[in-house]
Amino acid sequence: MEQLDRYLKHVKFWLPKAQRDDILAELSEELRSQVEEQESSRQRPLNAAEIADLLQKFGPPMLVAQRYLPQQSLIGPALFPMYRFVLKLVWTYVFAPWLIIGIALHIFASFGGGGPLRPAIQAMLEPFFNAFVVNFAAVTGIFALLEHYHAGSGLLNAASHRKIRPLRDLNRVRRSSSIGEFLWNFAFLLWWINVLHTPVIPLLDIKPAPIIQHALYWPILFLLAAQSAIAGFNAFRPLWTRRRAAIRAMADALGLFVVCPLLGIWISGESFITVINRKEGDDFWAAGIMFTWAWCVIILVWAAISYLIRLLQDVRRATGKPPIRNWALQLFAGE
Amino acid sequence: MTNTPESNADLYENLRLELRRGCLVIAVLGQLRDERYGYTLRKALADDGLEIDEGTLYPLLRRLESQGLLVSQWREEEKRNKRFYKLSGDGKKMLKQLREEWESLNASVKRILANED
Repeated sequence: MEQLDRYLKHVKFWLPKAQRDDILAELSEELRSQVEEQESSRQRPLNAAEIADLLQKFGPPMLVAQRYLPQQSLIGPALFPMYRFVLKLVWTYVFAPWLIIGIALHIFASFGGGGPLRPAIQAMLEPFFNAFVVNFAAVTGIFALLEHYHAGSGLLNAASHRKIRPLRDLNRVRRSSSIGEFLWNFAFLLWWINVLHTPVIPLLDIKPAPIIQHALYWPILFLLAAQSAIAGFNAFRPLWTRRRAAIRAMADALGLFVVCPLLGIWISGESFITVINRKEGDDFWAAGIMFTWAWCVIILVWAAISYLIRLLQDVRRATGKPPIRNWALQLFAGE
Repeated sequence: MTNTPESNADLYENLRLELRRGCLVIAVLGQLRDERYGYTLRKALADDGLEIDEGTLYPLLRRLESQGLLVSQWREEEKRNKRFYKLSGDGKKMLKQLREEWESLNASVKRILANED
């Protein structure tokens, strides 16, 4: 019965300490009874292959032992959906902008702008990976603690159906959103046509690069005017119509037409803003300028994604289909 | 969505096991009106049409004992130590209650299935 003893030794390893000997004695008795029964029906002792077959039917040692253990999980089924949602949130809100900022800063690391993209991305990967692992461990650790204590805390029972926000109609534009969009676009438009001027920063001068003034002046002007008009109209008529959605879809397409060349300029190593630092050699100003450039890039990338998603949603509205209900899409589309 | 014959067979097997799982506790308590040890209990259940594997039975016996429904003792029989189980006082009361519940459930399901036919 050496095979049985070896098998039971493996089972023993996984058993809970307190009841180990007791359980093992019972299992041993069960196995020996089964061997006896088979030997009695065959009228001979079992050979090694037959005993191996019997043990295989009994089950893998870890599985046999696991049935005696209390059911445990690091993050149980009640909290798992929330855990998955928080991980997605962290990766979208923390890593996406972090990655973009990091690449932008690396690219503009030397004053004067420009630089090859590939080494900048490679330089980003190691800290990014470390931050990714730390964030994953932190979120998992917090939820593991919650899992341990939530049953006693009543955390999941606290939610009442009265506290749940009503489902938002994505075909209704929030008035605050329309007003904010109108004010922003209108102010930008006034700046663009030189009616409004940005505050003067002593010793620093920031202007759009000549390429933008010449090639994109009118498209940007039309875009800002269209966006202001649509936002203004939405403030008084908050429900989308197919016609208005189609008009905004055209404005979104124009927005992409404006943003994409600017991104192309950045990728090619040129700059789309002209920064004149009258205090050459000052590290503080140099860092500030680099920061400004980096933020311009971030805003452009965000704008490109936002226009693309808005275009998708507006085309759906214009063709009579409901907009896609997804929190990330709504965030980028400013809905 | 149409299932293949193989997936239907697997589905039937899963649902069948689920149905049988619900009957295990009352069946085990019923058999332990007489004192038995694990192996003979399993055989008795199988003879009455309820096959149960040892990986399910032994943890169940421990759980029922920890819940105060069974009592056990180690005894030597045929030169081997065996653990004998039988119903405790609470176990007998519980079996009586579960039996009433079982009969009520059985009657309800029979009515439902009779209506369908």
